[in-house]
Amino acid sequence: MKKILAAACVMLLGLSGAYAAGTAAGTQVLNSVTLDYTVGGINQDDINANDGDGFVVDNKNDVLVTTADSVSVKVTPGSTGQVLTFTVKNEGNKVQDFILSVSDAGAAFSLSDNFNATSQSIFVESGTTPGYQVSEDTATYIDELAADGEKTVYVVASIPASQVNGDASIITLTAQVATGGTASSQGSATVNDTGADAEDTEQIVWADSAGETDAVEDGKHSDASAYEVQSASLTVTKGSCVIWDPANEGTNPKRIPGAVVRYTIQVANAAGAQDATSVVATDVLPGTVTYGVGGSGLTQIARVVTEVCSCTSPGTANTGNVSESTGTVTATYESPISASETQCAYFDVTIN
Amino acid sequence: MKKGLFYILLAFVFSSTIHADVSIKSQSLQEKTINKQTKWVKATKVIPGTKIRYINTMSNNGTVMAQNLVISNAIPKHMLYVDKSAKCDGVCSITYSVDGKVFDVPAKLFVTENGKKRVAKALEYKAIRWIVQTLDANQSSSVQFDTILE
Repeated sequence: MKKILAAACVMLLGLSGAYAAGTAAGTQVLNSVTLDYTVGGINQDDINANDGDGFVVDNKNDVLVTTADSVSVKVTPGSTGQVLTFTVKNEGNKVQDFILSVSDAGAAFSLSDNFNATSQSIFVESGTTPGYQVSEDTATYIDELAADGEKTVYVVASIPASQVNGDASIITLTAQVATGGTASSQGSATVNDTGADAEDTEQIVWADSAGETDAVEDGKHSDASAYEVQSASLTVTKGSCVIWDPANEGTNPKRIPGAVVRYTIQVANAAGAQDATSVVATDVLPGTVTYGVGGSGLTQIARVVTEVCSCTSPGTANTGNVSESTGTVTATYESPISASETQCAYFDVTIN
Repeated sequence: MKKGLFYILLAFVFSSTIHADVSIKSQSLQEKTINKQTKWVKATKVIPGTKIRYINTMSNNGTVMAQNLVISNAIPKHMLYVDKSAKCDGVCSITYSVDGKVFDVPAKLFVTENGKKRVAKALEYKAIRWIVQTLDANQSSSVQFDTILE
């Protein structure tokens, strides 16, 4: 059956793409033949014949769901109203409704599904404004779609705040053929007529192909798309080194009362991650140290540099991004910290 | 007188026993798989893309041979002819038409597209004609062709 339909489609498209939906359901097709002959060289009356009442074209139920997303839809943890886009096409030969549903199943874009987007909803494009419009696109099923007609459908969901960079949620949209003919009223799912064939009756014939999560000729079709989380992936590392003590000064200083210790807070953003912006580190100093260089005579280091930490070589200050108030140090990093970038905050304290 | 009457009677008897009673019937069939075997059955469940085979069967139920049998079949509306599917039992000539009036072999059938003349595609045929030279008394013969429902 599928090979016949495929061959027919090739033949039909060669003639005119307008015939993709095919002959309307309920059309009666009749054949007539005429026979002319002679007997003994004398022409006889023509004889005509028909193939009875011919046959009535049945109702072909065929639907195609296709994701319109060419790549995964990138989302941020904690975001809402994230949209996946699909098209649903009526490839049958009669006006139909379509029942829509979603599931956390299927495969898309070679991603590994490891979470479920929440608050999933389905909305049909109203045609007023392209793209998902929360106030316009409110229909939850496809109503009265003509043969060869196509509708855009949106799946809208939220992303849990706990998701991290690279997490993926695969969503499959399924469209099931339903009875059309009554506007603004969702029809019931059609039933494949597996009873006795009736030449004079319009019967329902499921003729769809297998989709992402559905079988061939089951009255439905499906396809998958995916949300992919993109966020910064920061690693924070704190370090320290002693740079001066009252006894040894700068030569192999030790961590003794009065020594100056330099703290480093390194922030690194992983490769492939999103930019991190407005990154601020706060560090509550222990009661055993005091912010500053005390009586060492050294110049206080309090800076953020856009490079990997090097405790004894704190680089060149970017700006005065480090401050202290009542024992709490605040370091404000340059924005953004891009993927594969590292920045380091330095500040000096004195051991009490 | 008696001789004349005899000849009249003889002619009457002769003419009443020598005749060709030819009929034709048409069937529309579709393929169906029954017990893993593909068979052609009466077309009853047809959707766009279904292949339909039309078989026209001539029968000579008379006592003399019928000759020059010309079977003309317009491609039914909504159906597209499957190239090279027209056949007959035995020997016949087969020609086609793109206008329903003029019949010829495929290489001599033309249509105009975008102002240019080109050979017609099988999908564009409107009718088929078979010519069978003879059909003996008490014999049947069939012609057939395949189509696809648009």
